[in-house]
Amino acid sequence: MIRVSRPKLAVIAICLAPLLSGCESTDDPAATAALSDTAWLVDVTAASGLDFTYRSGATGNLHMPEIMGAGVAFIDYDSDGDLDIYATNGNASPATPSRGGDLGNRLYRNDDGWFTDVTAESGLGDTGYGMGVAVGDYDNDGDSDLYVTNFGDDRLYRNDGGRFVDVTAEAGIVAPGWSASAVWCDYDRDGRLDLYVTRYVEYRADKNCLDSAGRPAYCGPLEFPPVSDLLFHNLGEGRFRDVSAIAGMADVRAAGLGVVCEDLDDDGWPDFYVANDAYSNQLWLNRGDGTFVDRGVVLGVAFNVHGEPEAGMGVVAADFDNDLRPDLFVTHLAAETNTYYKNLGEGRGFTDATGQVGLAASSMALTGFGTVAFDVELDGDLDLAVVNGRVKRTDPRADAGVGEPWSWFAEPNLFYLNEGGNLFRTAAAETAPFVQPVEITRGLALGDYDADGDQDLLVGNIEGPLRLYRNDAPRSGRWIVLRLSDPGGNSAAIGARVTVEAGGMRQMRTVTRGYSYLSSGDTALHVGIGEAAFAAVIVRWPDGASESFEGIAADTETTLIRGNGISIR
Amino acid sequence: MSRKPRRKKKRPPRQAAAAPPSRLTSTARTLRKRGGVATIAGGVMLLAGLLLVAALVLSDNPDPEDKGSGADPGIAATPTIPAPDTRHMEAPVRRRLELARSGVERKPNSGAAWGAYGAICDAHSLSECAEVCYTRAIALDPQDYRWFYLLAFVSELRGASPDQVAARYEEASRLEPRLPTTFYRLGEALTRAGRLDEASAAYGRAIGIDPKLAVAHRGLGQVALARGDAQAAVTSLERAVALGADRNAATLASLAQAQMRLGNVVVAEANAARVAGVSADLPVPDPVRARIREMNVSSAKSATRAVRMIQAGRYDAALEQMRIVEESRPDEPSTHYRIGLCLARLGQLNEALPRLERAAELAPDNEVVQRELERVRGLVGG
Repeated sequence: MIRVSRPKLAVIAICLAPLLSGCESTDDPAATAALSDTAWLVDVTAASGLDFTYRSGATGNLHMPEIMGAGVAFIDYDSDGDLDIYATNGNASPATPSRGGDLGNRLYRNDDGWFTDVTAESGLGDTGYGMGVAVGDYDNDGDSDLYVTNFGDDRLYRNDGGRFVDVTAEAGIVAPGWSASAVWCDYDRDGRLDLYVTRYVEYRADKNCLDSAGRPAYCGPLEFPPVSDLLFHNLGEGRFRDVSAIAGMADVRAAGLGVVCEDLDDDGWPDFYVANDAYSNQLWLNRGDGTFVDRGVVLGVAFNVHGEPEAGMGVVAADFDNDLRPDLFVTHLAAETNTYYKNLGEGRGFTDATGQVGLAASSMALTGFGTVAFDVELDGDLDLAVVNGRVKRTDPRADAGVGEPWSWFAEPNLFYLNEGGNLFRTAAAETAPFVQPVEITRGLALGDYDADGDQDLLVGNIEGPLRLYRNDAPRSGRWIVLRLSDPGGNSAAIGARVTVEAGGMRQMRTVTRGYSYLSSGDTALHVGIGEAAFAAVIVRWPDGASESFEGIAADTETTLIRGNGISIR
Repeated sequence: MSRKPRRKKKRPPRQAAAAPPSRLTSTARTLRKRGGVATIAGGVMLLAGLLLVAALVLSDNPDPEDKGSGADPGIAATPTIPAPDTRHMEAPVRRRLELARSGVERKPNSGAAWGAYGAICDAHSLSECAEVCYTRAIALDPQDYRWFYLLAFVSELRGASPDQVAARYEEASRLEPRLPTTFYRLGEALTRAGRLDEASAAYGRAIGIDPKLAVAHRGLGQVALARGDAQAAVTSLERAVALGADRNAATLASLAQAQMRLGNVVVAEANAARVAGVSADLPVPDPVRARIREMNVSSAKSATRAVRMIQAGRYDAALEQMRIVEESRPDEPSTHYRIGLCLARLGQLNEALPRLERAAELAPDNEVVQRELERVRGLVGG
């Protein structure tokens, strides 16, 4: 029923000892006191060997793509069981987009927490003007492939045992222009991962913009025609077909930036939710026949509580209030709140509950991009991290970690602790190393790079360092880590919905890599289970079949293999 | 890799995300204690005072009267006069800011001077500067509702909590309870803060003053929707539609959502389908903000105003705006064309002609320019 992955054995052995003895860990008061002064998120960038800065190629003319990039990803590219890191890079000035040059993307191999630049040998040094990245095993061969979005043509890289091959042309992928976030998702439940790509605007480098004081400024999305998104259907045999027109996306032009794939109406079919910049957001409900219909307006997620479109950037779908329904959280421009859409269920759609849950005030001054939902202290509810950085110029910030002109745009980040599902509070003190740097941050991804059971954060900055934060938060209870394997379907069971029951709590998670902004995380599900020794898990596999798995031991990582549980009708 | 040591740690005490009492909230409380003064003065006095302050503060130049000279000596020390980074600004903007700033330097105890400088900063989206100035104006001139109103608006852009913003609108509405827009904006801030009952009451006050204020009915409907009362939402939103919001995207979107909640899927879909093709804006009658917008002297805003004035046949005023534009955009064909057009319409054909010739030289393929040039040449030749 359960397969424990090999690289985790050491971890599990440590964890099992107190479990089998039935004892709780005996806290050393001195050690506890010392730990209480420790930051929950520790910047381990330098200590882990990472030394990378996203270069925008800026020449002083304020070309819009310069301020929009810096996607990042956790990817186990060599299938050795630990998470490696991929970071996009800019290029020469976006005024003259071209491939080549020194500013390629970077791949770093994880060797026990030390990262080595292996870009050259991996074939992943894409030299397009980098925006984002989406990781997924599209050919179901068990390793992680990679899609890179660019300002310019996108690229699909197939992983051949740790070496990557550009298969864009032979796969039939044609994605010119300006792409942003992308997500892998098996929308037709045929066992193969399909690909949704958001696209932004038809940028023109000869367009100059000024701010209200007549100063040169980056143009906003309304200065250019918006572009429709792309949906590629995976035909198998390494081939894709652009089905945007058939599916319905080609008819809608909006400045797309963020996307998630999630069953938002609970009908068993994965839907797409797209965060658009200055346009209404789309909720593409899956009709199950290869077509989609946008129900964003009637279901209350196209606009904010005032009925206004906002500057949608990043997005995450997650069950924040533990009612077993995915809610939505979208990041926005300064002078707008980041917006929390609570899922009401039963066909009633969503309601903008941003103010009620305490997420309005703190975000008004900041321009949010990447965002992730994870249980930082494993207490059984999902917390929120948001990275920020303006696109509209202001006076330079004295506390910025970057010089002019970047100090016009730099901002600190945000971290919220979930206080039981209906209230969030900022946790600036606990997460100071994460929230304090004043930078232009865009990409944000989740992954347990040190395999200790909690999720760590990877952050991409524009003209600033790639940052890795280790999660050292004190745990509120015990935990499980789940990986799913669907041998007959998409290998990592992307889209599977998992319900965990333990410690008097029921929690729902969906297996996905695609959320945040331009970024891609790991598929593992990390769930806090209180003081329970075991958890019961129900998996709804991507094709709709359900299985239950009993007796998942606390403080371990477990792989749930399809067919090894008890089938549920 | 070894696992990090873990220790149980007592969670820090959790507290509701309530905003700490702000200085302004304290100010508001103090003002409430003093509120009897305004009440005693009565409506006539208040109206006269408001008209006077309107003339003083919202003129482009600070008033020579130092309205704040009798201010409480116990007020906080004078803050540093903000000096925004003007390095890359257009010359007219820079000059306007410098002029307003010098007004404060000359009269550092004048609420009007601080307010006027704040307004100029505000007009050019220099919100930090505006926030400092309005805050100081309140300290020096605490009976003028506009400083609270403008501070509320700007501080919201600066990221003040919705509770703080609401406190400022509340104070503005106490000082000037006849302006429905203040209650409307208060309702918006309270909605954003999640204080839905109070938001509902604020929209109700706005409607009480102006029963035909469509945005307030819309707000009331949106609050009802947020509270889960879809039927009440439909009633208010349909009222907004009847009052002119029938082509407003926000109203129709909320109405569609409310109908969907009631299970009226067909009606909901019909309203949703209309959203894409209609305007996002529903006019908010806001004379205070409108005046601030007019103070922007950037070339972009001046050009927009000039076009509007040309369309309205106000060529003198348009010419004035285009002279501002010309300082920053002397080589743009549109600059010369619009100046030439205004001059021609004002009968100054000899001055118009070289302008239109220059525009034609810069944009030789532009048919509109050519047509006007030929027309003026004909008039001059004739």
